[in-house]
Amino acid sequence: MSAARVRIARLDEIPIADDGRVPSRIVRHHLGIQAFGINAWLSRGAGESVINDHDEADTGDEELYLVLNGHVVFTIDGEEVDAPEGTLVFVEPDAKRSAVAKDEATTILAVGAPAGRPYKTSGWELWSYLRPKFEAGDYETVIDELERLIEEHPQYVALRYNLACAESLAGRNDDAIRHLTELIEIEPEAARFAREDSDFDAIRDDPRFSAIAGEPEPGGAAP
Amino acid sequence: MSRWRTAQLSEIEPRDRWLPIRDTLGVGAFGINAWLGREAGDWVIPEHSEEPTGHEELYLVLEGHATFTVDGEEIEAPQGTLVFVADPESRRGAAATEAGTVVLSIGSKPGEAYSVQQWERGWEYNQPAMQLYRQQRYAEAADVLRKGVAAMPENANLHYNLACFAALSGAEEDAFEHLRRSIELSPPFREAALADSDFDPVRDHPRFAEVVGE
Repeated sequence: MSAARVRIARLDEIPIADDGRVPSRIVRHHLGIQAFGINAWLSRGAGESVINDHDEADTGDEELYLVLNGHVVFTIDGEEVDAPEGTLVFVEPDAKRSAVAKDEATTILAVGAPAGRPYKTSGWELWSYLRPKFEAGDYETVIDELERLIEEHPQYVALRYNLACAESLAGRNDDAIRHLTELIEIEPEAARFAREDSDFDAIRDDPRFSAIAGEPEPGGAAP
Repeated sequence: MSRWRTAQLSEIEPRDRWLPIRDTLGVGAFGINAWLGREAGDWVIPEHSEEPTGHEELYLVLEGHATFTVDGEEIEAPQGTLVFVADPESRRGAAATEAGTVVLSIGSKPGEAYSVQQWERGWEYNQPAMQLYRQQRYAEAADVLRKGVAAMPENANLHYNLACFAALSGAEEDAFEHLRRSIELSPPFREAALADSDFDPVRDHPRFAEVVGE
């Protein structure tokens, strides 16, 4: 049973998560939306990235962007798309896309979900806060924070996955194996990512790892 | 076909009072449209529940100012307000308190793949019918939807709306037949009918109780 049938927020009061690359207001997590992803990405200034270069091949998400204010230039599959306020840009999962701000203050609303199957919340929004510490190699702080967050949000598989990564990188092999085992029970698809992820190099040769994650694809092809 | 498509919100051709964003861009994974309140006092989001679809719905006021009513509670929503209605059973609607109000609505059902809503599939019939309905030209509105159900006989939403207009125009037998068919195709329309004042003219008729199973 959800806490409230209706939840209200002003967009400019929703907390900002900063992954060290692009800050975003974490709309979906803040409102407790389950059926689709939605965030608002903010530019740090003119010439700065607003949407990181990426595709959604792993998630299969279609994404729709709406420039709420400011002005950006998208690059999609190598093609530039000028996008002033009020522009809608719809991108299929496999297309490479990024956006750079032309104006100081720019906000892009991004809505996403996979077509033909249900949307699953992963909690990557909360990972954004920890990513800079992870990149800096401060694994022990990241592990403590993730354990606290997972207790609060046990459904968020991205947090569990990154906990196992941080433990593997911190040399806590037993913890990494244990948490990866728990995760793959909840989300079997995580095995596919773990097989190809260099964060697990420290535990890759452990027989327990191949028992839970399986063997890499022949030839080591990325998923 | 390229793997991306773009449009200007202000250049999307309105259908009645809404901008068909989803259809224009070919979005398949969630519902997304924008609703217009051209004058202060106009409704922007027609009062409804999402019981038939089971959708969560998120509204964002893009322009102007709206007053939402959700389960009887009024919510002031200036530009930049997000209103998230988690419970599909909640009755919700919004009126523009400023001219030129635009509200974005995004919806899908948790745990299920999205499919295009029936009212949106039947819009070619629903749009002219709703315009006649608002002018209280109920018999003409029903005639439009009779063509609609002939063209899309499995569309529960068209049957339901036809039942409403038939009830309002005194075509009782038609009202009961199409309400029965809408519930057969989509059982949540039963609850919707019980709460819907469009059926007030026929509510005390024994066949109404029979159709809604009371």
